[in-house]
Amino acid sequence: MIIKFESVKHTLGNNHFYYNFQTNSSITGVFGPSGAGKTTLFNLLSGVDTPLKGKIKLDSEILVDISQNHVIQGKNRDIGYVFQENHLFPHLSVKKNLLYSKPYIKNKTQYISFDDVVSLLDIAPLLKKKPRQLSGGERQRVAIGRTLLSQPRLLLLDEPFSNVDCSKRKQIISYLLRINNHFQIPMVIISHHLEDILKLTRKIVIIENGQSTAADDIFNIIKNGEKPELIRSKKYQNTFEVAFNSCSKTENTYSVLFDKNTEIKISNHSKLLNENIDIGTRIQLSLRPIDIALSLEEHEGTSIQNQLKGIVKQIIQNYEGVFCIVDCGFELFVEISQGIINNLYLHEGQKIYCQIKANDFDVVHVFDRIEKDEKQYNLTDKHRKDIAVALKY
Amino acid sequence: MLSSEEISVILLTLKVAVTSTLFTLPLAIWLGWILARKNFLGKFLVEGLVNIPLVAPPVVTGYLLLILLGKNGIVGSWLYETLGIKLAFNFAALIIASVVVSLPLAVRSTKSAFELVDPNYEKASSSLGASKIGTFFRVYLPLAFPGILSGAVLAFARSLGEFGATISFAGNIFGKTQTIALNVYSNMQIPGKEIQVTRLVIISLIISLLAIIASEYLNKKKKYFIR
Repeated sequence: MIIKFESVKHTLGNNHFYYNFQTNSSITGVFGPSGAGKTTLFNLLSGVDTPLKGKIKLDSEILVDISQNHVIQGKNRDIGYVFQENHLFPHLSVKKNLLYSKPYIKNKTQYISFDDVVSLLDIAPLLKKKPRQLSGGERQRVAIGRTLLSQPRLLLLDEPFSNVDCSKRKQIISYLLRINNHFQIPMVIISHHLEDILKLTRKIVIIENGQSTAADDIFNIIKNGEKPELIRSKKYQNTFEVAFNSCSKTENTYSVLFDKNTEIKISNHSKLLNENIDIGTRIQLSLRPIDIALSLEEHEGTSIQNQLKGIVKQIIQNYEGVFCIVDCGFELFVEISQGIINNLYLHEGQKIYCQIKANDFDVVHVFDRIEKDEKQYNLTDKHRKDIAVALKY
Repeated sequence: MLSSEEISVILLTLKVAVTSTLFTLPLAIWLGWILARKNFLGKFLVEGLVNIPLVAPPVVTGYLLLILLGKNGIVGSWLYETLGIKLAFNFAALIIASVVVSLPLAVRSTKSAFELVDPNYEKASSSLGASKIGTFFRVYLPLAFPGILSGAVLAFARSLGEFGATISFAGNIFGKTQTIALNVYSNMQIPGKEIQVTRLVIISLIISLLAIIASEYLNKKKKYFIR
């Protein structure tokens, strides 16, 4: 889905906002410090607020064009908004919260069912509870479910991790990927934690001091030399999708494929992978730039299980440190030090081995096999019936 | 134990209290809502007018009602001449006096109940597709419900004890407009009626106490409910 802000100006008190960007991704992250204007962007997109100037477009539909005096009311935009404080109705049970939008969706195509939402977000045990009996993570899941059931065509999530403790953040990320994959619903996610966003997507919009300052794949933003502060090792994550290949129970390692040629070993410390995982299952991985070591040769007799051959594409030096982009069939962002450049005579175009421990890969999400099949073959109910009949005979 | 005279006085009092509460409640919800959530020209005037009976001597309120709605009153004379409606010194007068006097108490309670509801729920509700009216009935009203109920109980209790405005506007006519308070007042003037007075006083105290306990209970529940 294409979201386009064209010279959109807005003012709140003494704060001035200016958004001018376009993004086209299944998941877009909106990143910036607190108070930079991220929520204002959501308010303008969802119709909570109307800008003073400019044009907002969703695909080919013009939501706002101030010069033409054209403003589509928020409730007619079909945009789901999950607020930072989630605002679950305290007097209603979880089930009634989830079904709140039911009377208002008569005229919309219903493609997200109550049962699907409850099962995907594991809400079933919570249905009878009141919001005050839920933990932060549970509240967040119910709020996401409630918004999904209003059948939106786009889902906005404002700081979905802010009221969730660290251990549960990963869980929410996994749920978001699951929803995105299952319902094929585009999402825009606000967070001031880049590492959380990057576990979900590489397409980001950066908001600083009330302005959109960049909107692209984070790799391109960094390659172009913009926003050097983004690549601080603790914040930046290499994220990629791979396919499961095989598993060795004795070593407790799993082999996954980037493509036919590149195989890597990962361990299952996140416990997200199980023994019955099907070959070809898609897995989202993340890897910190600091966890990658560079070597000029392949080593034998080492505990490091991954030695990926690649070529140095670019070396970036700035006040944050020294980084290089290595192409191993896919691009990896590696954090190194000035000394290493000198010792290895590192230069662009050089052949190099990236050494990564199996443990350093973080399994963010394992996509359901069924989800993928449905997506790939675009199965309709009729197809399913035909297959069921065919299998019977 | 109670004489038929006492029973009819008690029944009339309860009838007035219940009826006037039924009239007060929707008015209090509407006024509480606009005073808590809306900004409009003359808001302070509306608030002032609603609250006058709380501070003015009830007899004065009754007198003003008489000037306004009495047979020769500003509005009353027109009502009587064109529609033949008489509003003073009858059951209608009892209800009107009672509503006017108990309204400020009820509005205070409904207003604070609406103020306590986080307006962000409205944002959430409208993002889920609800209209303003839908949000009012599905979010604000249920969340403010304990406060509204406690306002109703207060209005009911206030109306039970109403004396000044009633005697000025509805009179003290036995069998027609004489409530517990007026009956106690009348019997206090007559020697030998002390026992009857005491009996009604005790009954009146019990009803009032129950109403206050109910109101306090609902107030506590309100905080728990909204959290």
